[in-house]
Amino acid sequence: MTNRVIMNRETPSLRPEARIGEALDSLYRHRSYSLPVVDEEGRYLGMYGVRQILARLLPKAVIIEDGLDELGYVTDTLEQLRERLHSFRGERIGDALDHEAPAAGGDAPLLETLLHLYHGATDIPIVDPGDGALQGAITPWEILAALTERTAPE
Amino acid sequence: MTDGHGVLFGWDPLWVAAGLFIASYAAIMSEKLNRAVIALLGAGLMILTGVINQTSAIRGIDFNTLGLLAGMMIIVAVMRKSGVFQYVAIWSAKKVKASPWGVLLMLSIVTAVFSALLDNVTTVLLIVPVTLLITEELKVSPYPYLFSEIFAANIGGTATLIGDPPNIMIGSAAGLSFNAFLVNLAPLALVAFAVTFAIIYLIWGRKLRAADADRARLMAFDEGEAITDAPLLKRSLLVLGLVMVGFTVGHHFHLGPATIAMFGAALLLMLENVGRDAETQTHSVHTAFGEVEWITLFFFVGLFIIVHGVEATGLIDRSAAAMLKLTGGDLTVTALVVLWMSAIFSAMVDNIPFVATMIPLIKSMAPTFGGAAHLMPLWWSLALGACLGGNGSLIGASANLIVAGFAERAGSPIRFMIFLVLAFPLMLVSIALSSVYIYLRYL
Repeated sequence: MTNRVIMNRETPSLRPEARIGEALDSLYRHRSYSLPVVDEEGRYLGMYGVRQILARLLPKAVIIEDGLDELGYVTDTLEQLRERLHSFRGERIGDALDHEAPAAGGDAPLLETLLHLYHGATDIPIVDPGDGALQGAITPWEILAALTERTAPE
Repeated sequence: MTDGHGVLFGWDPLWVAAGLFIASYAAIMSEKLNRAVIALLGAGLMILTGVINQTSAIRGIDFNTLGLLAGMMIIVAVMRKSGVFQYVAIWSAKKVKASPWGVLLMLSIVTAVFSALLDNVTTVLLIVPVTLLITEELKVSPYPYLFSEIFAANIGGTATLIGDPPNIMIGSAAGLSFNAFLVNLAPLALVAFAVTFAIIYLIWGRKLRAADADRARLMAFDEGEAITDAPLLKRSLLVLGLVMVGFTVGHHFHLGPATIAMFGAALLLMLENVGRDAETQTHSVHTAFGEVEWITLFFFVGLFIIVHGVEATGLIDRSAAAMLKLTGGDLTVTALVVLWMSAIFSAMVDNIPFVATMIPLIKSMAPTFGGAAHLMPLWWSLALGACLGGNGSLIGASANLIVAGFAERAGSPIRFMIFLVLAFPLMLVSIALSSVYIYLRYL
C-alpha cells in the first residue's frame, strides 16, 4: 500500500513570508503540530510548527547542543511567555523552517510513513519527487481514520 | 641512548626521534586529524622504528597524571547529575541582586573556584549554559560574561595542582604536592584575577545595565529547584571534600594524587550504586565511565611515549644545553625565558604537548643549577606561563574553544581577532605580574 491511498489532498499549508503570529493562528485553527510550507508555485520548502515556536519561547540555553537539561528553577509566568511571543510574532517563518523533517512521495510505501510517525514525526508531507510539488500530507488522524474506516477530521 | 634493539635501517635514532616528534607536533597543530590518534600513531612509530622498546615506552607513561585526570573526570560525571553547578551559579547571581556587573563578577568567581577544584573544560561546560540563561533573562550581551569566564577558568586552574592539565603533569613529574601548588601559585592567581577583573570592569563592567523588570525575573529564579538529586549531592560533596583533604595531607603519607582521585571516584560510584539492582548499577557505572574524556587520556599516553622516545635519544639534553647556553646558565634569565616562552606558545598552540616536552628539558637542567631542589623557579614559571598563556587567544586552551562553541550555537559568536585584540594584552599583563612574582619570591 502506498501513501497516495490515504493521504489528505486538502492539506493546509503556509507560505515562507507568513508571520509567526499567522502561522500560530493557522496551527491552532487546524489543530496541527506542524504544517508544510510551500513557495508561490506550490513547491514544498520545509515544515513549520509548534516546535519552531517553542524554540523561540524557550531560553537559548536549553535549545543549544550541550545546553541545560532542566529549567525547573525558572519561574516565568504565562504572561511573561505571552510578552515574549509578542516580541517575535511579526517575524517571518521562512527563516526558521525545518528542512530536516521527513517527507515522502505519494508512491512510497505507507509503512515507511508509519515508521516516521512512530519515531515522533507528527505530519508527513507528501511531495512529488519530480517537481517537488506538495501533493498532500499524512498525519496520525489519516492513519486512525483509515484503520477504523472513518473519515479523518477536518 | 635508545633502549630498543637498533633503529630501522640503521638510521641515527636521534634523527628518527626528532623527525617523529616534529611530524607528530606539526600534525597535532594542523588539526587535520584527531590529536589522540596522531599522538598514538607517533608513539607507535617510536616503538616500531626501534627508537624505544615497548617496556621503555610504558615506563615513559605518567600513570599518576592519567589516574588523577580519570578519577576527577568520574567524580565530576557523577556530581554534575545533582544539579549543584546550576544551583551555585543562580545562587551567586541572586546574592548580588542580579546586578549585571555583580553577576559577571560572581559567575567569574564561581568559575575560578570550580576550575581550581575541577578541570577547566568541565567547569565551563557546566557554567556557560547557565550564564547564557542569565544573560538572556537580563537582556545583556553574553560576550563580556563569556570572555570573563574564559579568563576566570584559566586563572582559577592555575591556582592548584588539579586545576589545569599542565599543573598535573608538572606536579607529577617534579613530585610537587597539592599544597606546594596552593602555596606557590594561588597567591599569584588571586592577584592576576583581581587585576584582570579591574580591567574588565573598566572596559565593560561600569557600562553594563539591565532593566529592573529583567532583574526581578532573575531574582524570581528558585535555585533550590536546580538540585535534581539531593542525596547524590550530599554524597558527591562528601567525597569531593574527602578528596580535597586527601590531596592536602596525602603527600605526608606518600599517597599520590592519582590514588586519591581514583579512590574517591570508586567511593562515589559505590555510594551512588549501593542498594541498586545489577542492571541499574551497570547502566550508572557505564554512564559515568562514558563521561571520561578518553581522547584526552589517550592523547596524554601518546605524548608521554613520544617525549620519552625523544628523551631516550639524548635530544632533550642537547636542547636543554642549547637553552642554557642562550640564557648564560643564569637562573633568573632562564626562569623568565621559560615563563614568557611558555605563555606565548600556550597562547598559540596546545599547551599540553609543550609542557610534556619542557618537563624533561627542565629536569635535565638540574646539574647546572645545583640539583633538582633548585629548579623550583623554573617549575613555577612553566606552570604560570602554560596556564595563564592559555588566555592569550581563542585557541589557547580547550576551555576557550568550549566557550566559543557555546557562543556560536547561542547566536553570539566570539570572533578570533576581536578576542585576540583584548585577550592577548590582558594575558601579557598577567605574565608581567608573574615575572615580578617569580623574581621577588624565588630569585
